[in-house]
Amino acid sequence: MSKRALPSCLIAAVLALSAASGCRNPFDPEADVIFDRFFCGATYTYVLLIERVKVTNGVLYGRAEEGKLFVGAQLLNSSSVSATIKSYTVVYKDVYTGAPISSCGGSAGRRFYSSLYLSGLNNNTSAYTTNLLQMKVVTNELLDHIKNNAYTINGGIDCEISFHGVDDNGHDLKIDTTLHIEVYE
Amino acid sequence: MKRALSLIGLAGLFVVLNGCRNPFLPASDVFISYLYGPNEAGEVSVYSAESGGTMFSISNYRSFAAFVVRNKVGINITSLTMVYTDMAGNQVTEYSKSGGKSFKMYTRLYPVQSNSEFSAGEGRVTTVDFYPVDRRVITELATVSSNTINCLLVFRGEDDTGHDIRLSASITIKGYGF
Repeated sequence: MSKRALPSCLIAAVLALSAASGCRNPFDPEADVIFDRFFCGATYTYVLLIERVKVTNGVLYGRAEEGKLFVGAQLLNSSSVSATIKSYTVVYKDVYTGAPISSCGGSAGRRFYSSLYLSGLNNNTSAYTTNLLQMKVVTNELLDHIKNNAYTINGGIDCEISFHGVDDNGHDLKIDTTLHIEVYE
Repeated sequence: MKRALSLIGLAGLFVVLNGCRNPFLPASDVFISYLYGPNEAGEVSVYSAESGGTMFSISNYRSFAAFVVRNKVGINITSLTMVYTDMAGNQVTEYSKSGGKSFKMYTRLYPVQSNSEFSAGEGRVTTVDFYPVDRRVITELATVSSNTINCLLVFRGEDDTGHDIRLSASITIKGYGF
């Protein structure tokens, strides 16, 4: 190899190594978003509590009890790049049978739309920004499933949730987590 | 001389290819930061018990879109189109025949006027009311599978420097007790 070709080869080798090791373009940063926790029901518990007797007698189908079905997902953004959550997918699973609930969308689940802007960091006073996505994971068909199946009190229901969005630099965003719904008599 | 002209031509070509923006005619930098329905959720809930007869109240379904303008160019929002789809993405309700429900409106999204507006967030916030639920939507909620309808919102308008503005977002309408 000639002396003149050596620098070019070195640069090419460095670039190849960077690409192979998953190089990130410093001029095209991504949002750094993680899921923190859920705030469920009127008392902001970590899991959602559903009293089955209130489902069977129709109490939870009314606005007066709406707060009991509330779910808030707290998302933290540790980057200066903002992002927007545009939708979320929920796969409902019976903990007792271990299978996705077919009347609630089966293994594909249900996709719902909302919109929340996850602010990026714009100063050094905090390590992340805190953002709360307010959702209604419990649907009419899930309430019907609980009403029609008394065994749901044996373990409850798991909701596998995927949040979908895009950051301000155009990168797709997907965050997965699971919410547990505890059903009791 | 020829070389200099070639360089200028090349630079001009690069600028055009990169999507040059005229610095003397900036477009508004705006986005929708949040959609929220009434009663603490980013979605809209419809309960069968309060959706019929005299129990129907449009204020139960009043929803908001929060817009944020990040520069000094304001916007006038002049129309809103709402397209309703089922969970599979097919258009539903009577409005599907006309491609959705459209109406004119006039809302001013004010521009940033001082740096203090960036200290608390990303820019200047304006909230706009909209009402995604009416009788036809409730009729559809009762029949559509999963009692759930997605509503695609398209806000259109023009910014103060004459650029067309089109902002879209979706919100889910969930029916209970149907």
